[in-house]
Amino acid sequence: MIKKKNIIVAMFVLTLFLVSALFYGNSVERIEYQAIAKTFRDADDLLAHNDLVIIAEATENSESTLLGDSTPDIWGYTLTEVKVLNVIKGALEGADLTVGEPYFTADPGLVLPKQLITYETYTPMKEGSRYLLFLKWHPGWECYAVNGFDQGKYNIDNTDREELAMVKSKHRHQLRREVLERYQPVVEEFIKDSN
Amino acid sequence: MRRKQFSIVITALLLSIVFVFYAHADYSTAHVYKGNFKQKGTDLVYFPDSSVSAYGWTGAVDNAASKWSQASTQLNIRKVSSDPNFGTIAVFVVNNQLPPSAYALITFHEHTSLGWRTRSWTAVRDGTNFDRARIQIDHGYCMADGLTQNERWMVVGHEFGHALSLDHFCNPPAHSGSHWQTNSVNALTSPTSTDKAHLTWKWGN
Repeated sequence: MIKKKNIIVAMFVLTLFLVSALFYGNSVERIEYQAIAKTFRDADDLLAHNDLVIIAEATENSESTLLGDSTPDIWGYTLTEVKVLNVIKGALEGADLTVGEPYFTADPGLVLPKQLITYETYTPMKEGSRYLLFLKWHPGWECYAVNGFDQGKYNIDNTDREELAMVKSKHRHQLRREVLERYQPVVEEFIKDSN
Repeated sequence: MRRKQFSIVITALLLSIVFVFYAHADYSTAHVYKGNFKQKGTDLVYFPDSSVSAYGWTGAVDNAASKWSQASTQLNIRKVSSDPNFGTIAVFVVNNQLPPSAYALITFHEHTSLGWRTRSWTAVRDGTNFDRARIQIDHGYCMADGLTQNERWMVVGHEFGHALSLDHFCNPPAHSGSHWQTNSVNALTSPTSTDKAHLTWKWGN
């Protein structure tokens, strides 16, 4: 009788442990890499240093590429397909484009949380949300990529609240305000009313 | 009359207190991470990967380790030729592999019972200790933007500062001007007295 009770208790503890481990392993830990990068002075500077400026809608098709040796030295990027709605600078053929984003996801194992690793305060584009993107050709990633982390991506339809919440510095707020004011006439027709 | 003099003295005193408080260097977690290397400062090493010399960054890396080591007797960052992982600042140089316009980045890694774990710099800021810092320099983007040699040396010094638990500081008036730990590039090849003050606050004189 005592043995049976012990087995039940042991099974309960084991189940609890396994459920906790799986739950922990399926959670997502957000990690920021700290970087020093070019700081764009203003909207003109940003425009001048990019090959392609577009208004686009993010799709669900997004895949991370890992570079580097192995743990602990992982790094990488993510390729996200977007629907191009308007081209402000540069030339493009077709309405679909694969954009390099400065973040990636990694799975370090069953019992460790998955990792969403961003460069600085960049936030991944959200499916269905619309963005004004400042892109530079990336010879290593072989795609147009968001330039200068969060300096190259601006949600225009207010459906990506996380993006604005992550803007910390005074300069980034100022640049953001200036960019959105500058391109307001162009982006207006692509703004969706989320309310 | 006396009352007027008294008011002037009190006002001046209050203004002085406000100014001193405002201008005083801030060593809180806004400028210095709570977390740190688990190893002692005198046991730290830096490992320049072969890519460092291949892209011509040896001078910048040696200068950063040397200048920070000179700033505190509690620090002695020795150069090693093989990577021991623990207590290590590992430096790598890549060419057009980081996100566009990124000159360099730093990552923090902790060895736990479950293996190596990458830690967010925000976690280190808030108190997580670590065993390894990895600096990655993008030669391609530094050269494409025309960074001078002095500016490249500053970039590496800046990243070493992060590895030693220093954050950015550029808020006036206490931190006006250029320092290694400002968040934009300048041409300083040595840490300023403000940089050193933050370092010794963290590591000791």
